[in-house]
Amino acid sequence: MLKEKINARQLFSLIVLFELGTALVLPIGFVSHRDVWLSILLALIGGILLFLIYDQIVRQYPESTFVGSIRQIMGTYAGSLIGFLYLGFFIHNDARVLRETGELLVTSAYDMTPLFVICAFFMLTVVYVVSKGVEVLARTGEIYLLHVLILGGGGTILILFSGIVHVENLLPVMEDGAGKVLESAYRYILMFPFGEMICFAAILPSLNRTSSGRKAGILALIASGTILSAAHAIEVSVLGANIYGRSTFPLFLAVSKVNIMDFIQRMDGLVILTLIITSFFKCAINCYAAITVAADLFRVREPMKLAMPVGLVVLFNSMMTSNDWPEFALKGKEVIMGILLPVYSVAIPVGLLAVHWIRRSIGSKTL
Amino acid sequence: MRTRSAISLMLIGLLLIPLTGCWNSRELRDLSIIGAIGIDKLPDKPGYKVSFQIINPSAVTTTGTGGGGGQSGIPVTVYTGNGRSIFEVIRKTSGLSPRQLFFSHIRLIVIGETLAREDLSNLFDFFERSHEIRLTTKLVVSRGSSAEQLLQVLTPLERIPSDAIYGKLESTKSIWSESMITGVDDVINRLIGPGKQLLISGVRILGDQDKGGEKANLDKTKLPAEIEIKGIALFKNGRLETWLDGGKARGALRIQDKMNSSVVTVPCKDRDDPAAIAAIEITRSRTKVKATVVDGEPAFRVYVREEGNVGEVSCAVDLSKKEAIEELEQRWRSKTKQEIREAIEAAQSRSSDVYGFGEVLNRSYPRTWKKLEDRWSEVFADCEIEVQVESFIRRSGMRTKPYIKE
Amino acid sequence: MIKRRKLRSQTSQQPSGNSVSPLGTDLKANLQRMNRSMGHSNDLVIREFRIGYVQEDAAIAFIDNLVDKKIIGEFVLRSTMSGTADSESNASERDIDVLDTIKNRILPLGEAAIAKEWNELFAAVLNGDTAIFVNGYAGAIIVSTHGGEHRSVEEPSSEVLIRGPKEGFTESIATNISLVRRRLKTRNLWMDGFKIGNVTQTNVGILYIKGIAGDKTVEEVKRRLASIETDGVLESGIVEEFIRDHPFSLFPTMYNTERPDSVAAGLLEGRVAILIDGTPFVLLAPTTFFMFFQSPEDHYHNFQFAIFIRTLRFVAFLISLLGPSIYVAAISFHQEMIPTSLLLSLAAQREGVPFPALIEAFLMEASFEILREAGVRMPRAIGQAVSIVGAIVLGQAAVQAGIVSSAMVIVVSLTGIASFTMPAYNMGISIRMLRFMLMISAGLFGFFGIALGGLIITAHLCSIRSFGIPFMAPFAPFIAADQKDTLLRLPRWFLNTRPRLISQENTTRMNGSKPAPPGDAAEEGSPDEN
Repeated sequence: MLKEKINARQLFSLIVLFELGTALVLPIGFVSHRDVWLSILLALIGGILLFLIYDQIVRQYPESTFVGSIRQIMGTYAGSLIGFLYLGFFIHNDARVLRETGELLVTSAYDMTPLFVICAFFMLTVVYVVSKGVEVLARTGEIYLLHVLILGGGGTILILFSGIVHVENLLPVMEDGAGKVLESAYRYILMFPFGEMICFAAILPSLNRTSSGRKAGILALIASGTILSAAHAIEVSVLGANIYGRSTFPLFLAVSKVNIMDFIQRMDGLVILTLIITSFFKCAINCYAAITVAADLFRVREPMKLAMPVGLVVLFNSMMTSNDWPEFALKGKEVIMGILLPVYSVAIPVGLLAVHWIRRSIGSKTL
Repeated sequence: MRTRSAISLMLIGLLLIPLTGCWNSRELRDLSIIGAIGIDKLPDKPGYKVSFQIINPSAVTTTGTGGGGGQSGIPVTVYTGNGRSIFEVIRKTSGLSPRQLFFSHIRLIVIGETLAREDLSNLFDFFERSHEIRLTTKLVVSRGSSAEQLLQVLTPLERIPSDAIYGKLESTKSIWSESMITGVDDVINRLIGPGKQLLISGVRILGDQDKGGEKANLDKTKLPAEIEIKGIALFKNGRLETWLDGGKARGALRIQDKMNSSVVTVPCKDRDDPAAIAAIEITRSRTKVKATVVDGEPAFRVYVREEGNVGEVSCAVDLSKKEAIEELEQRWRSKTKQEIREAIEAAQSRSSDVYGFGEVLNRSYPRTWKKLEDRWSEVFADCEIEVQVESFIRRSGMRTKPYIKE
Repeated sequence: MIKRRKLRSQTSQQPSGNSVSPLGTDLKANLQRMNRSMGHSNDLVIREFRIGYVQEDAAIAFIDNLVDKKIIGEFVLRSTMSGTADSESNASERDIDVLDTIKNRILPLGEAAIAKEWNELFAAVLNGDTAIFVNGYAGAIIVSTHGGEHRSVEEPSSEVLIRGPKEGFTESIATNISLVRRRLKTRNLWMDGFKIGNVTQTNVGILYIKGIAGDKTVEEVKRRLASIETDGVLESGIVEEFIRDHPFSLFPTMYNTERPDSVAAGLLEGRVAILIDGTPFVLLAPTTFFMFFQSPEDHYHNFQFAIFIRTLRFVAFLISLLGPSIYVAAISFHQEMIPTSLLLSLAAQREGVPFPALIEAFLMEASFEILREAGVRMPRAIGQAVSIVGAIVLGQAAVQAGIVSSAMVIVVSLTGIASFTMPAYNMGISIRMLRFMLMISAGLFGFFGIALGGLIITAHLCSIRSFGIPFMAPFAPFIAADQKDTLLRLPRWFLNTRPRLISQENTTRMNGSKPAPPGDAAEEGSPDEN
């Protein structure tokens, strides 16, 4: 079977869509409401470093997949164990993205529709697209990046023209000192959305030129970090830090304030569309990562056959992950951002790279 | 292989379709589109009396082809219900309304004066929490009548009363500048913001309150009952304290840099002839508020820079002369100063920082603000606030000298 | 399966009842066999005569109406009958190659060959050639006498241009090839011929420019054409269905056109044209999605207008795909997004309408499709009346009766009109079918459903290929150089490259030379020369 390859430009699109997924519409950073844009820019630096680590790991073994690389570093058994851990993590993370999207849709527009149905149809679409392989996913990403940029540009113009931006809402900068800004940057934003980039470690091996991934990745991170920062700055300046901090869906609120000449108003549909598109890609990329990891672990010849089973597991996991939105959000803040993401997207990759270097230096000494 | 998986996916999708029913799908004819909500206080027990102004679509559009009474029907219907929470009342009134109440198109929330004089700081959670109601929905206080009565008044020209009120708010805001438009988000930001208190425009019924709801109200050239935008309600801690009218209201807008355009009349000459006046149209007005801190005591300076044209003169004054213009500018300046002073006094005397001086202080002196934050109301009441005005008359219309002779 | 195989073997045996068998030497027997094989068909004309110069009995056979009788009279009969026995030739010489001699020295016609075998002979005669039998010789001379009634070259009816050549292809493959050749006078325009269809024996030709078209593509087209096994090919659509990629996809993966200039432009871009005898529709491969949004006219008008028109067409595409579904989603799910005054007037219109919005949209769309189909099938004179009665009278009456809302009529007719802006009819077909699917998903989930439907359609479009070329190129994968002539249409001198994926080896069209007024041209060394 022809091995599917994606190019650097497609990787760029996927990363940008991934980073914008849910992080664009959710309040992020938690503790630095007014300075969240600053926190995002600060966290971006850490995000790029994290990405370089993932890139390094993949780059050491250009011929093998993510799990393959882990196995080569840690040995077959320990490597498989770590692979299993990542499989669980990717599936759970995907389930959370799915749940988040579903919850947002239910709260903002589909209050009478059962959450399960929304999630099921969403996941069905994800499975359909993912089952066509990473190449199709990447090409679809290229096209939708254009859509999202047009939507985003249009939305920004509308917001600016309707005169609802009050820059003074962003002042004073760092009211509570730099500590909060840093805390929010490195405790929360570095993890979500930047730490979630770990699933790209499973996609980087599909690049047609492994070396091109680094540049594309960094550029994509810078682009998405800037967009996120600007978007959240606009959200705060339109809503005020307080409403921003208390709302579940700040972008939706900010855009719903648009009113130009009493006719161009109620543009929240655009936000829902952006939400669906970007989280679709986030969900699909996580799902794809889980599939490739699973295919490696269970030695499945045609990975895409796993799309349906993995999708079903994700769907049911998303239903079982918590009973209600507050519980879900709290878990996200404390368990996911507090424990899981630091372990899976920082500790393990750093550890892997360290083990790899140590082994290599020992190897070269003994030789 | 691919086709088989695609087919199975499609089958699953097809099987799921009958599950969907039509949860969120609502037909337009099953919706009652609400134009405005009125909230009053229940007279003796806790809770609210909520009125909904429902728009009758076929009566307000000119092209209604299907059913309905065409143009002849009454454009709105008002339903009222009582309850402890607004949300509860909404569902309760389903017994009155043949269709589901639909809130996304609410233009206006009217608050009864009695309720406003009690406390409305805890009123807005529903409007914020519901995804149907927009943050941009505007608020007014019904002055001298209940919100329910106000919603019943029928209006000519603009057939939907809530639109009529909104239109009046818009136009008076932009050319008379004695009222302001406050949205739900503004109210919330003001209620929680540092030291900011509420200002909400007032609306009152002119004429016979009971006749406003009759269709006969539209059959006369001089309406028996009319709705007028009047004054700004000044709140302290969610309680209506006083009404700012006329010059005070204008001063309040100037301090917040919300002056668009207005007309000021100033005496024409030194002598006290009440008939000799000049009317100046304000075309441009900018306000800046600066904070200074001396020995830990905050003080403020309000700078106003305004431009205008002479629109009407009722005395003999030669406007082609520079001195005459300067004299008018001088009088205009003191008039503006006086309006602003009065507005500040009204706020200071009730120790309610409605104009957001506290926020200005926070922005430039965060540390001082932190110290004063807890007792800001008292501090504000005694603050020194200086007013500086620069006024420029740019043009005098199509004539220089009036035809009036001494 | 078994049944079908049986059927196929039957059909393949039928025409070759007289399988490979050589002609006999006896004239009478040959003629009788011929008559018998064709079931004594009336239009088989056999005329016996005596050849002048050898004084032998001979006969010609042809099918009436397929041949040009003038040619037969002037050049076949007159020249063979009139000669006298040649004194120089002796009998032994004559024995060996009298057929050759006639062919080489007597017949003043461009195409002539000798058939030794019955299948060959029938194929030729049924193609409009004339067979000359000579008594005593096992063989027949085949002379090309194609003729008969053909539609002349007319303006194409399915692709109308304001500005551009008014010639369209006809049903005759020979004419069609000549129309293309006249536009591309290069020896690199190569052609390959196939006969497809066990019964119909249809001539199929592929045309490509050697050196511009990718060799792999050409090979692939040839391979796919050669593997077709069917009894008959009556139109290019049948060939298309046999050789296209993703036959289950709703989207056409091959382009068809009636215009020689479109074909020439396609060939210049490195595509392969497939011409089929008996139809004016020529296939082009490989095809990309955005070809269906382009009209040859875009290149004939000035480029500003072309950009405007292409943008408009794309908007119309979106309207015709999404129009009714967005309307349904907005009025039954997302009423909050409609401006209040518009919502009120929609609500007023829908007061008396008995159907839910989705059903109403379905009814209206279905009746529009019926009207359209009726308008196409009706004789032209009545067709117009039908569409006018249908569109105006029916719509008006339905609205006045309060059965449908006038907004719905507006949406449906706008959608219908927008779908007519597609330059390619077959893309319009897929849009019309997808529209109904999107309407269902909009009726179930509102904008969420539309968004999911859009994602599925886009992913599907990204996954299909046409003869190895990604269908969504040059957007996915994104190719910057090809954006110059996709949704945009830059001035001619910018279009100096061919689509990169289609013509892989030879992508340079010209060295961009911007035309300049004469004064400047003198300084720059007159760029007009190339």
